[in-house]
Amino acid sequence: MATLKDTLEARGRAIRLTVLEAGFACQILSQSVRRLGPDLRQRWRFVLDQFVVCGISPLPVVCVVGLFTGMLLALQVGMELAKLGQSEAIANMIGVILFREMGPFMTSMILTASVGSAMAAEIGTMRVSEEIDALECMSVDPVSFLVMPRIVAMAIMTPMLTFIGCVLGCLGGGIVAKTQLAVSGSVYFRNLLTSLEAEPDSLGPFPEEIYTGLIKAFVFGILVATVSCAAGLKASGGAIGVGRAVRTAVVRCFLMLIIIGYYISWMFFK
Amino acid sequence: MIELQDVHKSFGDFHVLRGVNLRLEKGETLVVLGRSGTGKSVTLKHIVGLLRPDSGKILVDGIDVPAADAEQLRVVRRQVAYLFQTGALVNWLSVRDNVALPLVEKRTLPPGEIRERVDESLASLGMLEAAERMPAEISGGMKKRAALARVLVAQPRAILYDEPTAGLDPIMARTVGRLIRDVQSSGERTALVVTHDLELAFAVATRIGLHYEGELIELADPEDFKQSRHPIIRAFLDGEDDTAVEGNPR
Ligand SMILES: Nc1ncnc2c1ncn2[C@@H]1O[C@H](COP(=O)(O)OP(=O)(O)OP(=O)(O)O)[C@@H](O)[C@H]1O
Ligand SMILES: [Mg+2]
Repeated sequence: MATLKDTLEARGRAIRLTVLEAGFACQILSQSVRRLGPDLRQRWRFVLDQFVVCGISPLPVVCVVGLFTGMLLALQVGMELAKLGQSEAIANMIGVILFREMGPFMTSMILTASVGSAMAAEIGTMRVSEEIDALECMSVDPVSFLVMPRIVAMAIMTPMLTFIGCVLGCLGGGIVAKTQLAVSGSVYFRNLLTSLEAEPDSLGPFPEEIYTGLIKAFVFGILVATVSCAAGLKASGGAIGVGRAVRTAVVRCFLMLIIIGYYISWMFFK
Repeated sequence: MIELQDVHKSFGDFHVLRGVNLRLEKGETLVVLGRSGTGKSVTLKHIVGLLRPDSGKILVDGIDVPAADAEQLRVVRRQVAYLFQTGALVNWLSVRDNVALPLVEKRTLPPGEIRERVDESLASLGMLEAAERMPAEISGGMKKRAALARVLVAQPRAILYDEPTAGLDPIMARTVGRLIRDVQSSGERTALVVTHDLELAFAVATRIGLHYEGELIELADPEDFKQSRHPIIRAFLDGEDDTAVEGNPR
């Protein structure tokens, strides 16, 4: 009996902790948004540094992954379509799948693994080595100083990287379509553009397929930065604590990306 | 200006502070000696509101620190600066940017004046040549000096020094001792110095206390402290093992 009680208690504690930390993440996000007006000009240098970290460094990986995702999709989907004699429809599918779903998700996964984990580690290390305490003692707000520039950079860079990844994916799809499925390049790109064309009820000049993907990427970027920074700020207990913070950050980001990603799609396309 | 009344603090089962009492008037330099791990740093962290006591009162200029709201805490921290034992420099800013940080964040001084004051502060600690280096590229003692420069540059009314000379060579330690005395010479500043360095202690102190078993015992003038008959203090000053002292509860 005692073991059942212990298990339940442990579960309860874990749930309570998760709820508290989700609250904390929301708190630093709203605090960052509020500090945007008064502090952004002064923190511009940090934001530029973060642009490099979040945008330039992961670019090669995003390009390679984007290209091969497009190729893979074209290969698998193309073979099925070929059986139905519909090979030429490959372009429509690639564009829609990449821009709507795969692009934002794949890019955010890459950013979680490469940038989010680094954010959690950096901020966690600052926490356990008393640097954040020192900032507080100097009346420097750690959220405005550390978190806000990272959220801004991720919110801007994630959609950009997503777009680049998707364009490369379409290119990769085109290569496979031409070499493996015998769909000519001109047909592929004409179909691709038609499938992504702006509909009359779309927002401005952007086709719905593209802007929903980019809105998703924008939300994902903010999510990854916020969750990772929150985990870092909550780190405690030396190097082990930093390791734990990184793991927490990555696991939570992955879960949140897939869950929130579903609901955003549901909102736009149901 | 700083007052602690019967402050208790435990970490889990570990009762670190067991009723710390102290009163620090403006212009005083109180030195706190004590063995490693007795809770000296923990005491200092309570004064700047980084830790909350389990019970007891902490007053800085009449502000109740544990109960202070964000604005009051800002007031306290603007007046009381804390030199961290580890230095705690921001690792991705150069030494110069670290030292400039408190002034830049205040947003009241023009850049030219900030630069002047930062250079002056760095120069007084012989850190001007290392100003452009990153914290990871300088030695432990240099980090300590950079952190001290960062504390002094903001010209706070009270400074809590956590082992300001640990990790410094004897010459540099004496320079730091002189610097603390210079800062204190105006009589306007208050200082609380935690140290193991007896030479520094007797050089700067107006009063000395010993932190022992979670309490501050015997707060006295340096001369009286030196002559103290208290067995624990004798053991500490003479460098004996205090577990051998009779009446030690451990
Ligand atoms: N955040 C914390 N969590 C748990 N225990 C802590 C924490 N901070 C300090 N302690 C414990 O409190 C005790 C006192 O620590 P403190 O850092 O104040 O020692 P100290 O007197 O400054 O020693 P030293 O001279 O070595 O710096 C130590 O035994 C330490 O293990
Ligand atoms: Mg200490």
